[in-house]
Amino acid sequence: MESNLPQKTDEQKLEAVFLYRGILDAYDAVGTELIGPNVLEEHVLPRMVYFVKEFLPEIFSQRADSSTLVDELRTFLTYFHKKVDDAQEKGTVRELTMNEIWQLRAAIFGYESVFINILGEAAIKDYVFVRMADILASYLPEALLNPSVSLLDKLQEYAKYIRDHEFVSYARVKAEGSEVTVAANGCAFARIHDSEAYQNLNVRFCPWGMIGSAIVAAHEGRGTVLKSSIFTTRGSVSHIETK
Amino acid sequence: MMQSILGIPIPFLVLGIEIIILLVLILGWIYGARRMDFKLHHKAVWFVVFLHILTVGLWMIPIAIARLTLALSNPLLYWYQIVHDTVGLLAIGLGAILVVMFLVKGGMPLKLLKKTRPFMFLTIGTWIIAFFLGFYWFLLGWFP
Repeated sequence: MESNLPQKTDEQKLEAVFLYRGILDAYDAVGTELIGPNVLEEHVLPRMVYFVKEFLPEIFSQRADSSTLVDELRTFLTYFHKKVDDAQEKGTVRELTMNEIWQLRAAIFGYESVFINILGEAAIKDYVFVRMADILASYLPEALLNPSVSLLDKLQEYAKYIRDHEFVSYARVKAEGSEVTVAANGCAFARIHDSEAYQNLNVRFCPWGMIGSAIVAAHEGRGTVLKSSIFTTRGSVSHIETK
Repeated sequence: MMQSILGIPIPFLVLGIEIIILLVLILGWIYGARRMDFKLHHKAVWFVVFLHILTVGLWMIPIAIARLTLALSNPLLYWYQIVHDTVGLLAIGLGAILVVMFLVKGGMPLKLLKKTRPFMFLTIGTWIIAFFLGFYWFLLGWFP
């Protein structure tokens, strides 16, 4: 089990929590809108257990009872927002842990799994991601929302941001007409690509691509859809299209 | 067997093409795979496959067959040829298997990528060894 105190090299990676929080909030808002107010309790938490077992097998090995894990994950999500707000207020992520990032990722993929199974993949691309991009745009830093800056410059700034924060070792963006590509390699969170969940294509969309989609949506002022993410062992390539 | 094309001795031509292949492999790796531009990576692979059909298929394999008896009659003297041919066949074989696997599966599934990534590095590694042995063989032949 990882130490609860983040190592120095983990601190920068933990700042991804602020971006992931935006994705989680967007999923939660759209899930409540499309499925109902109990989407988390009835649908997401059971699936989240599956992804936590996949992404954090060392935690699972200490939990014989899945319902105990469901209770713990429910508590985690309940207090997670407050913890992130506190971290933002203090300007430090020292009280967060990498295990919490993995649990957050599991929640995100839990929502994705719910949408795919209940709404279907077409609905996700036609509606869910369009709505999510709108919501995520409100979480973006000011520099990425400046209307006088070109889309390519904003995307390159985003690529630089995720490289400088060591979320990825390499990032590349391309914008041609209505097609945008966001590629990232050497991702700090790529270890979960080893899981059966990834390799069996139970997950579809890379968070870096989702945030790229939000940047495009905020710039274009119209619907943007994350069409697909191709995953490699250490990165991903996401294709985004404006509607 | 024809020994020159347009006045250029074939071994010189083949070496030149193999150097181009080496550069394309390096560029395909750096600008294709590492930078996640898989269209470029795939174009590089297909270009290399095409050039290998010319160099290996039309020149190296016939030469190797023609010289096999000689090489095996004195393996210590012709060690570089035997090792070059063996390692080269391994590299070509691995490369061909990788190309066929991704053609058959299509779409770069993550499971397949995870299994084949070590073999990609093995293919490039054995190819580079074969290249340098081939270059050594070329120097012996043309600059004794």
